[in-house]
Amino acid sequence: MSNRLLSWGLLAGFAVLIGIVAGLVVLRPASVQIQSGTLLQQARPIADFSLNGSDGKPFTKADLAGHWSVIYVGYTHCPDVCPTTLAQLKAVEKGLGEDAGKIRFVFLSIDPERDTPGALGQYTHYFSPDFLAVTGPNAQLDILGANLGFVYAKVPGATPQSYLMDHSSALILINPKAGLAGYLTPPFKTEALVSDLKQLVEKSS
Amino acid sequence: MALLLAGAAAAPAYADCKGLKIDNAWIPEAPPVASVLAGFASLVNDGDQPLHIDAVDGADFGSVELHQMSMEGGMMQMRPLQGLDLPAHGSVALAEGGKHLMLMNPKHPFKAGDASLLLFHCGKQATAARFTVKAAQP
Repeated sequence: MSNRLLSWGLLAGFAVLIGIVAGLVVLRPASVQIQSGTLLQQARPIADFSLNGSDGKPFTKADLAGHWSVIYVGYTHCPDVCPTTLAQLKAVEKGLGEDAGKIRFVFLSIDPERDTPGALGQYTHYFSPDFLAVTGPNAQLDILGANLGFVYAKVPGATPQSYLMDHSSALILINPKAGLAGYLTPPFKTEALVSDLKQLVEKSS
Repeated sequence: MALLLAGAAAAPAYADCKGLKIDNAWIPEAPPVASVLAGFASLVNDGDQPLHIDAVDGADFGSVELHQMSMEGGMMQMRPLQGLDLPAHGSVALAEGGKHLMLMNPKHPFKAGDASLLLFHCGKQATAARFTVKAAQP
């Protein structure tokens, strides 16, 4: 009887040990630590989606592959934080030097009703000609939102035309395999963003 | 008589909001296609009576709204404000990341160095302030 108990005990102990080892393997800290946000332990796959680029071309999951992407969710009728963040991303792009060519900055508008791709492109390219501006139907934005973990909501304004949009404020990091890699969260510091992005780019090259 | 008439014509349409001082009034430069601009300033009430600013307008903009920006659980939120209250000897900052003027439908593009006159209404009075456009500092 006590022998049987002992073997059960050993078995249970062994199972716990396996669990701990497996946990350590799965949950081991990411090899890159960033200051400006959080990297997921494992990049998450993204479902297919179809948006419109300001260049008139479709913007799909395939456009996220082959390079790092930093996606900023906002809208152009946002006078305060959106232009400030885009101006900051311009400073980050400059700070990255040659590495800037390995990262695509994407301004994703969640206000397709007012942000037509053309106007959105003009607005975005004022900050940098290399920034990509995309938007699309709400159904597609919702798919991407569910995959990338961003949310947005329309809020009534003083007039029907002056409605406001609430939106997630984090910058979304996509790795060169088009997987969700993590988030950079405000308040943003240009130097920290530059050093984090340099680390990511160098690690994956 | 002519002098008197000229004086009357040059007089502002409104009496100033008593005690209201508007300083550091500026507009961050935005893309020429932007259909909204932000307006920032420090508002001080030097008077012994509380002030309520119920509206802001300017000839260069289709309309002007007052907004409050905030961060709630990672969400950037904006809400329209029904005017601004300035207690006696109190102040309100219109600043990045907080309250701001939302200058809608500019009648022409603005670039750094330009200026625009905005009127802050408090009941039947109004105080004008000159807002200068400056490059936004990230």
